[in-house]
Amino acid sequence: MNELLNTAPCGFLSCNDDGTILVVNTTLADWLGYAPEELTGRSVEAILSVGGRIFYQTHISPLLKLHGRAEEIYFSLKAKNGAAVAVLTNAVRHEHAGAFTHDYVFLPMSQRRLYEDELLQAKKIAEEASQAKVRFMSMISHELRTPMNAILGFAQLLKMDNKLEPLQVESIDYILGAGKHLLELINEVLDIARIEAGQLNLTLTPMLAVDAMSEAFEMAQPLAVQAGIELKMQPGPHDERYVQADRRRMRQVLLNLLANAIKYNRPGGSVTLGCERVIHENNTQCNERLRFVVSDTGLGIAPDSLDKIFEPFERVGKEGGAIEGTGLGLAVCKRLVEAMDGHIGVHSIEGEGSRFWVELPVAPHGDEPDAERVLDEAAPATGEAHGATTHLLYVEDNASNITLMQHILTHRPAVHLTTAHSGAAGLEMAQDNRPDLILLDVQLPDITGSEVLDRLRSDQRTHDIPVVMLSADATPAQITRLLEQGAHDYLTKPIEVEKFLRVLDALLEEQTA
Amino acid sequence: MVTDVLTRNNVRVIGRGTQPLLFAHGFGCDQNMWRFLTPAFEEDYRVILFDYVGSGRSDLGAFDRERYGDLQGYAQDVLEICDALQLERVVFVGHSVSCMIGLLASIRQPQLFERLVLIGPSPCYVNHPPDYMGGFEYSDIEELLGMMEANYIGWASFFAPAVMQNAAQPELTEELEGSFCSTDPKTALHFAKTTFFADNRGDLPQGRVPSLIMQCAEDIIAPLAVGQYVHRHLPHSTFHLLNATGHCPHMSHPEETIDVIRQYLRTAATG
Repeated sequence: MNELLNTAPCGFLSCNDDGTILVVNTTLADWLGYAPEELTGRSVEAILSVGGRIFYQTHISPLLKLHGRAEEIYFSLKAKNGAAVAVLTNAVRHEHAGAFTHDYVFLPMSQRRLYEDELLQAKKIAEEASQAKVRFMSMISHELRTPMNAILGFAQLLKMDNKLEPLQVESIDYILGAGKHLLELINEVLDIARIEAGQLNLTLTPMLAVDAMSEAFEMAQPLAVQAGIELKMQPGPHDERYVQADRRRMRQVLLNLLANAIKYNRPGGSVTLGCERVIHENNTQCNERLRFVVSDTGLGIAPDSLDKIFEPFERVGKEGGAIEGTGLGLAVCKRLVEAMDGHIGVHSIEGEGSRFWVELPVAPHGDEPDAERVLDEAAPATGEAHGATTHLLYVEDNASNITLMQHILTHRPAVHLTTAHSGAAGLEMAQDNRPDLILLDVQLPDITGSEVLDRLRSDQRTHDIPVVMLSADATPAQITRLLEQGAHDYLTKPIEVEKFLRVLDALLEEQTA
Repeated sequence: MVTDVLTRNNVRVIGRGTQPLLFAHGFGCDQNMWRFLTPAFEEDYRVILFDYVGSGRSDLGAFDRERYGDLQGYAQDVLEICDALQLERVVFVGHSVSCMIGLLASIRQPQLFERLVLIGPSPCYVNHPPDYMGGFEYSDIEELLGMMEANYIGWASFFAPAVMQNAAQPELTEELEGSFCSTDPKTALHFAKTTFFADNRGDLPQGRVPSLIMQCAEDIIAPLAVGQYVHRHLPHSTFHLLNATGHCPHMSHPEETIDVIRQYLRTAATG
């Protein structure tokens, strides 16, 4: 038995609870350059490097005392000549005649260790590259969105002119349509980059199923009318139940599915949105979920294409077609749904139509969050000038954005606009002139918009002036933070002119009330 | 907020007494490390156990590199736990790095704490010759980090996320019992760096709460000279040299550890 132990192709060591070595086999002693009897009676720490001792004391020893075993742990032993010997160890702690012993088995892993080091290094490089990619995407998307602000903003202003020829209106519609499409692409690229970098911030709260459906349904309705598709919401017994979801992202996912179902439908076809309950059973529990289903009467998708449609830039069968699409929408949806602990899938029959579904966990009842702050989009902009003259300070460094604002405000002649090109200049003007309203860009050349906001709020001279933040980089977390910091509202660029005018009117109304 | 804090730090309250005995685990482990000690105090104290963010069953989502970039962030968590449970006259029992975390918390809110029990304290693990020898060179700590990285990323990282996401499933929880207590590689490495590169020597003289330093006879992580250094610089401290060896006397020699703590608290109560 002893011979077997000594010649086994693995190292073996047994020590007591205090770490005194009781038995060591010849194989291990040979690896370390000792005779077995040189090690017997010494502390196990004699064959550990300093870093190894800390690891032993803080990880392996507690693990054995708490759980009685430790498995597949990489460890570095120290040979008699000081060289490091990489091993993989399994250990157990057991009681024998009232005393505890720890038995360790070691397997050499120097070669594997080298390989793992290379893998680890490659992983770190890949992670850094991924981070760099996200930074790049984020920067590019901001840079792209800034000129889009001018393109879409001026196009909207032009369209508000009543004296245009029909051909001119059509040209502007093309500019607006293409611009919005490009903006959608930029936003989706940014979403994909954020998700892949693990930087997607979700706020999961209970959301009424019927609310989730209605919000997307209402937003998709104009698209359906335009395309001549009948859009229906199918009432069901589970509409009044709650799912755990991020409100904004849920709306984005369902709207995307509805928009696809409308776009890829046959003329005069229909799209139905509904909600049903599904139960997944496994060995330990029943898992109840709500499934949102979008059914269409379109051409359907070929079976061999079904597994590709959730990949980026796959527009199955629609490549080069007349229908606009980025090829990113479903890829974004899949990632968003999975980030909400849900699943997305599709069932389709060619020639008959498709049925896309999203499953999300059921949320407990009764703790519905406050409704998300949604601007009242139903009320149209009045187009009427505000009564008294009001002073608006716009803090913005981009010249085309300032020009756009000047043009927009020609629709509100009673508003007097002043501009500041930096945060510091904005603060000074706000303190000196006390404008009625401040529009504040988030990204300024000297100090951030967030800091400007802080200083405005903490200064007695400016603390009560309403501030509306403007930015092209609108993450939900950023919006929440700035609103908590005291911003009155937050608008994203490119500015939707009518929406901006509504917010402006409402704020000025509040002030005069 | 209260629930958030208690969930974030996986706070558990046991015992039948009224005075709070707050146990704070050390680096590399979680609240389970106290399991040999707590039964001895449950009759007379309100025993409070918790996991630091990144350890045990804490909320990994609450991990914030900036907040936990130094020990003050962990001290803030301790204060928030005390606040959430509305504790008073707290006896703080900390092991290893928790000794400094408890000290920092007591400096910020001395009125909250009645006593500190410091098991294996070290204000600085790295050597700063000639005045101070914490026991380690930077290269030793780097070696430890390499070993942790290899283990966490090479192996534990594969199944730890499954455990975290399915904490309610007992069969997975059992699997956890072959792994380290800090199962998330990123937070574990961060905690290791925060712990071993910390230098809180300057904080010692600011301590106002009476404390007991429990020093193991042979402890390579917190050597005798370091324990004596803490005693010299920490006002109102009592020094006790244990017979126990190693760095975790509360696990290897729980009876002796219990006796010494009891004796100290009894003296404190009568004196």
